[in-house]
Amino acid sequence: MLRTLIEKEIKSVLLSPKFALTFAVASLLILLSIGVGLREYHAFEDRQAAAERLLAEELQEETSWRGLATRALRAPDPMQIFVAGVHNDVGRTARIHPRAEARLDQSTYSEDTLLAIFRSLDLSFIVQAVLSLFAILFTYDAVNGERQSGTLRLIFAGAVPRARFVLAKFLGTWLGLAVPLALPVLLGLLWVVLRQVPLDGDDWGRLGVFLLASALYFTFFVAFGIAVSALTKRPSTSFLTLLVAWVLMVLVIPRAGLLTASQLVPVPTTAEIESRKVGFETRARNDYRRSLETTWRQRRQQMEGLSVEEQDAYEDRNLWQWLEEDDDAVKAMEAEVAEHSARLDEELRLRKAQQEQLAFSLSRVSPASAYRLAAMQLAGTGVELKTRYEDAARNYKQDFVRYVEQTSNTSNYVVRRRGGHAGDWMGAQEALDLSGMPQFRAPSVELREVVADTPMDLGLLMLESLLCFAVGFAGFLRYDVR
Amino acid sequence: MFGLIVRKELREILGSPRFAATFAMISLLIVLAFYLGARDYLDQRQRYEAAVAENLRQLEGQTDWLDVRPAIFLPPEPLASLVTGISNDIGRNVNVLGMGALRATESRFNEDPVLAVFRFLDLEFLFQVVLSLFAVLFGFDLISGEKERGTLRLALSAAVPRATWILGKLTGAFLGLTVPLLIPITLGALTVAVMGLPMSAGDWLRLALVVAAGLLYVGAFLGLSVLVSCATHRSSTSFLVLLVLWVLAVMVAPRSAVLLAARSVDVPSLDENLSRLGRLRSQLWAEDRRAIDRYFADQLDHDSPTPEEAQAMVGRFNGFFQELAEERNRRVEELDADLGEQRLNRQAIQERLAFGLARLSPAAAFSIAAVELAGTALDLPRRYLDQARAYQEIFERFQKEKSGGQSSGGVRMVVRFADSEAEEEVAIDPAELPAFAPEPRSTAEAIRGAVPDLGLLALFNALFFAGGFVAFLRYDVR
Repeated sequence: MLRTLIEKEIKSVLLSPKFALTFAVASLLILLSIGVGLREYHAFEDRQAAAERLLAEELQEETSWRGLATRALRAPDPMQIFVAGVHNDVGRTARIHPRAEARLDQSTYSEDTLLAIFRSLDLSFIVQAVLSLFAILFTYDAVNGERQSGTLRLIFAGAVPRARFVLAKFLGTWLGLAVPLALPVLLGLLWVVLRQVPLDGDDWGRLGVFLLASALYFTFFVAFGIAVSALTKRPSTSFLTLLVAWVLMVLVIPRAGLLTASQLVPVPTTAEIESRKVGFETRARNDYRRSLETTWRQRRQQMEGLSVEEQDAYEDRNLWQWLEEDDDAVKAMEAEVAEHSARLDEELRLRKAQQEQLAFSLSRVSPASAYRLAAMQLAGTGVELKTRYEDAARNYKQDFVRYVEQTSNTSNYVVRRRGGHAGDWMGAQEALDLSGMPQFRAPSVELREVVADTPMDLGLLMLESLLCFAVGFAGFLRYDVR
Repeated sequence: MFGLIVRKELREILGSPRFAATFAMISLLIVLAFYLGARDYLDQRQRYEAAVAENLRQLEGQTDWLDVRPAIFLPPEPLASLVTGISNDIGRNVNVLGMGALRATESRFNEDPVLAVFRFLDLEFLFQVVLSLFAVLFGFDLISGEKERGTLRLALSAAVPRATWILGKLTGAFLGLTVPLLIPITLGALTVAVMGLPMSAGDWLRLALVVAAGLLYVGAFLGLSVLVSCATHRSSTSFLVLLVLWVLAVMVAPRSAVLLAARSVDVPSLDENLSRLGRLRSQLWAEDRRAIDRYFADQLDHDSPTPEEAQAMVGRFNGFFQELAEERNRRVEELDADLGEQRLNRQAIQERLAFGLARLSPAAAFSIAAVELAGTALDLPRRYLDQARAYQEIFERFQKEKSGGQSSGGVRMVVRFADSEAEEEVAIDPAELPAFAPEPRSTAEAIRGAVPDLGLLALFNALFFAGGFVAFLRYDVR
């Protein structure tokens, strides 16, 4: 009986006139989104490769250790094809220099503003906004439509248990919609493989979990549509209710959550933090300069009363040690500045993390947010993309600074050479030998880690789907089929 | 007769349960969009002022204007919060030296990616996505629905000319949908005023034009709905066809146009330009370094100069460094301007092609008109950098006046005498620093930029309504 009911439901979905059209549009959109993703992926890959080549050329010509700077470049991730997330909004390169913060800059959208004006169209957006709308379109009249056309009465004139009917309705509609939609998705994946996108085992795993999350999200809207249809008498009422709920869930709640969080947890701007850092550094340098003047005055005083020859001899004996002392002092000052900067950065980061946590927790009320967050988490294109790369860039900077200090044998401020008027700080005349320079390694996104971060969102989607199904089920058991 | 049909149509729309639910929803969204925009503006303003104040505070204790490198920030604009355009995607912070090329860094989305996750609910998005969908919802069964219910046959069995009937229907539907929208829009505007957004008369005019463009856009979708409704005999068919057209117009066409343009027109990458600039800088610095070496060898003739001799020597050195720096920066700026112009020209060709294609969709025409009016269109980064360069000139003059030179990012010699008592250093007064006060885009310029798209939206309206009119004249009402 259940099987017959499911078959009937699948047939009614597949043979309805709206199916052909919506299926065509959904397929077009799915393939288009993957096509757009592929194009953006390859463009990003080319751009980063060109940046790497230019960097290598620049480094080959570099002659000064003091001016030596490199860059940490973000690596393309195949998952960005399916879930762009904040990939285009976050900088794609970080300058690495001993005296500069390792911070991502030059986002794709800030460079190519034309791309920003209509934004990206990825598979997660199609699922979140379009397929959910289509799910509503196919389920808003699932129960009340049959009541209005009189078929519901006809069905229950036979010995059909209500529970079995509603279960078949849910399973039939789900299978009738989700299975055909799997076709363009599979075609899209084939396209990705044919375009030789390097997907490793972890990537396939992440993609699999992402598709599972998409299926759960779709399931929620199917269950939600049937539930509302089972709770209302007229299809027009259920359609309006569902449309309003869709607007709230997809458009309003996520943004409202963010707004509430930004009101409750204010975060200072980077510009403000930078100015604070510059102010502290300027004061520290001025203090250092003054203390250096005092130190040298005292050193001179020690030589008072000596003849010129004795002064020279005294200076020759002590100069190296003095320079060492000055070098230590400047390093201590720089360490203090670095510590202060790190403290401010950490505070900023904590505030941002608090704000993000709150915003995400509030917006998760909507399944659309839970789905989006899970998708971005799995693709590695969520807000943590920036943190992940900036952390890696900071670690790389430490290796780079160590390398420069060890290889150049110079300190930043004190020229360890006597007698010359233009020291190493000005740079050598020939190109530097940078053969041993450490290379930046892009942080990878491990399947194990991202999957461990998503159970909450996936669990929420599952719970909400079950809840909707239960409500629809209970609603239908009491439904007046006349 | 015409008035009667219009009134009947209005009553029908306003009295329908569908209207009550959607109107409540739309009103909530519109007021929310205004409120969120205003809230965001106030928030940004506060953060902007804090950054400016901190930038001045960090100058406290400095003793030489030549050491000062002020940072300037893109100030928030009230209209940019209501129609965000690309304002959150472009670099906002510029570090200014007395000379040299300028770059804007740190876009808002790069700084706070959490904002990019859900983006903003602004007026452009609301009109473009939500209100157009609701226009479809109101218009899809305007004709085919009447036919299904049998009321069309009944209405036309009386002596009502078809032309009058369809005109009345179109006018009634347009008024029924757009006039009620003015209520939440007015409420939203009032919210903005009450929250104290500093909107000038020009800003209000531009906002009114954004709303007008939005209504024209909604009208275009209503017209399209009537056209499709006249071309089909069942309301379910017309709804599906319209939904497909809506998806194509709002989601597919604008993005596809950009993709096509990006494939057709190559734009030199910023990396390439930055690399060429960096290499020129390195090359010039290497040449200058040799010149400095030679200069040192010629000029360093005192082992222990007196303070007066040392000061004179330092003056000569710094003059020489300044000359080198000016020449170096001139050449870098020249190349920067050259590369920048080449890139801008290619971008302009790409943009023209993308927008030319995208404008086939009313959604793109509306978007372009709205961002042009709000001053958040593609020219925003160029305008901001032009203003930053103008400020750089002001700052350069100021620095010269105060210290006799400009900060160049090169070398400067400072000699202090350890044997003499430290001279009293006079701290600079940060309040003297010229303020960066960019002029927002003028209203006339903004309107000029939006006129073609406003015209296009009007044309879409005319075309769709005319199409609907003609289709109805031939419609089989049985």
